[in-house]
Amino acid sequence: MQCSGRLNDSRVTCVWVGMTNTAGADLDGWLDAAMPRIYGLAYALAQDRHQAEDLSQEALATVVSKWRTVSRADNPTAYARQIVVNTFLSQKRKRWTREVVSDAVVTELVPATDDLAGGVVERGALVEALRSLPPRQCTAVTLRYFEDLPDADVAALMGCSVSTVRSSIHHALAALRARSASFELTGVTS
Amino acid sequence: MNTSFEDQVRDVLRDAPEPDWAALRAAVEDRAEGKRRVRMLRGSVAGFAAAAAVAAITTGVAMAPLFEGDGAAPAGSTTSTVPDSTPFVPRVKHANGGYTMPMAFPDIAPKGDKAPAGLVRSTKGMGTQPAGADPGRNTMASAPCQYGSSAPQPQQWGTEGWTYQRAGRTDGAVRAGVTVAGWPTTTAITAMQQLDQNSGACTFDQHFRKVAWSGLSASEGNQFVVDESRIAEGKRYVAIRRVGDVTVDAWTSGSDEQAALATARRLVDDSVANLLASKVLDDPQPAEFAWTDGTSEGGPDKAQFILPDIAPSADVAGVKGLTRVDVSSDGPESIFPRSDLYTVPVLGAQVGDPVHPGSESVAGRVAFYARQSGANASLETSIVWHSFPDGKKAFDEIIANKGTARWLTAPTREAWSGHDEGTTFLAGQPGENGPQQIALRLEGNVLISVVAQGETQVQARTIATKLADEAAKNLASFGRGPDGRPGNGK
Repeated sequence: MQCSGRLNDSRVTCVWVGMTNTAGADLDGWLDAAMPRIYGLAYALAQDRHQAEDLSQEALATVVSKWRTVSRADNPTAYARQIVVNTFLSQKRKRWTREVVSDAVVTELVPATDDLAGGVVERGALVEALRSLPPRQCTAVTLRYFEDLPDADVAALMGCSVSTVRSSIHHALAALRARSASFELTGVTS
Repeated sequence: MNTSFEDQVRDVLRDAPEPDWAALRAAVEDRAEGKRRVRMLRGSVAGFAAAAAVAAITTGVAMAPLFEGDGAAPAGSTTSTVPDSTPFVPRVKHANGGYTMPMAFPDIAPKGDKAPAGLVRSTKGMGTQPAGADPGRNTMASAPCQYGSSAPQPQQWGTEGWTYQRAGRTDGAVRAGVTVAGWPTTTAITAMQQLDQNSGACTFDQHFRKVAWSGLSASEGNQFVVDESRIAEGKRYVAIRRVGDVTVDAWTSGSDEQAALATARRLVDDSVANLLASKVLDDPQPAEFAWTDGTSEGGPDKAQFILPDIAPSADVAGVKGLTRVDVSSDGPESIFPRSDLYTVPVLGAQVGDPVHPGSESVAGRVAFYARQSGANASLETSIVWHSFPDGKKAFDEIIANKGTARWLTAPTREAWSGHDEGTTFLAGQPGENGPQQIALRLEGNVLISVVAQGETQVQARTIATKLADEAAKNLASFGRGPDGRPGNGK
């Protein structure tokens, strides 16, 4: 493997010996373009910076480590997106040994007093409501509203039917509205 | 009203804080390099193992144990003698999704007044379950494990676990846990060494550091501190020991690292002592495992299961303008040819509803069709085909609406001429865009589900029945796999 630094940049680019410069340049350019998008998706799903960095690192590293194969596909970013979704759903399933209810969650709920005029809710409450969504509902909502993907593409990414995607989003939005109101806690602000 | 709320959801989702991009990129490259290294190492290890196996066979000499057990008992441990390996018979998977397991794990986690102070153990364990059936239970020292033919070796054959809550607390929060896992004979030592290097099938996916456990072999990872953002104290303390080809681990959390590690070590030591006292490892007896009502029909060895593409050409429906929508150009179908989808059975608007997390199929695939109707409306059809551990049970539950997943809109069953009512189902259902028709065909353990929309009910019925019948023909053309499942191994 050969590595080289870049002028005016702390980053280091490494390419496998035998890989053409074109391939290395392609990977470098792809990573520049894909990183914000994949990190953004990961954050939208996890609503947690550390988890988002972990998810995006995993997805991007997988693509980078298999670049010679993946770059032959039409859309490496779609591959990375699929990994983010799969990893997110998979991690959410690892519940019984890994998930522990934080004491912070056991906080007194105070009913919202503000009128939810126009359906607009407090941002912090909406974030909390997003975090409380079941993983597949959260994923469906994120792929539609963050990625602006058509329902058919969301269905393909999640491995379910279009109808299921739509019902998931329908339930998710209803839950978000209801929980945003409930989660308007004392001390939770945007 | 909807628009403003949905816009707000969009804004929140797109409002990620800026990370340190240079650090993120460096971490990506580090992790990528690690993945390459592991793949290269795996190839070397596989090659070495194959060569060693050939050498052992040709010379007729049994391979000596790779590890001397005298290092496996820590100072102050409750036991001083542990076996190097365990004579497990290989696990066998049956066509119905059940298993003959090498052994059923006994109840070994300390409970009652034997439990560490302040902790109360769950009454029962999770039950010995085959690894790979539920990824959430497939762990080693809390590190998630991959499973399947494409994952590194060795892999666990099964696990059992117990959880602990704080005494006097009623919030249901789990504060500690014990897991016991079985490995193929002579392989647990490798698994422990891999854990030490964070390579192999089970790897930490969060920051961690190794902590020495006096008296145990330094080449095996026995004790760790794992950053865990989901727990109140932010860290998980894990201890693990190997007993032959069984690993016993425990985790806990707390603000005092030394106390938490001591608790984890004590849970492991006591569990190991109970395991050895039970004598089950001296002569492990195979045990049967079957999926029971009310529990998930897991996806045994799902990564090894391949469903072929049986979606027919749109032409067979004989409906002008109907075309198959190619979503595979975006990646998933072509990049993930193996159906390893963590989905519940998906059937139109019924199953897959996250409110009703239902049974899990072994594998599933999906294809879409669309037909333009008028200026803007698109009539959509989907075919989903799943292989279940018990297809008839899945089919009957769906038809009777008695599964864990239920119809959101009740279908109206219709006669389907020339088709067996026991294995096929035809029904009309109100759809979002008008008439909608459902056609199900059970072929062996593979359930083919078509949900078709049409301008008329007759048109929707035509599309559903013809696509379902043609998909069944396509499935039959693939024959059956070694375990009797249609389409397996193709």
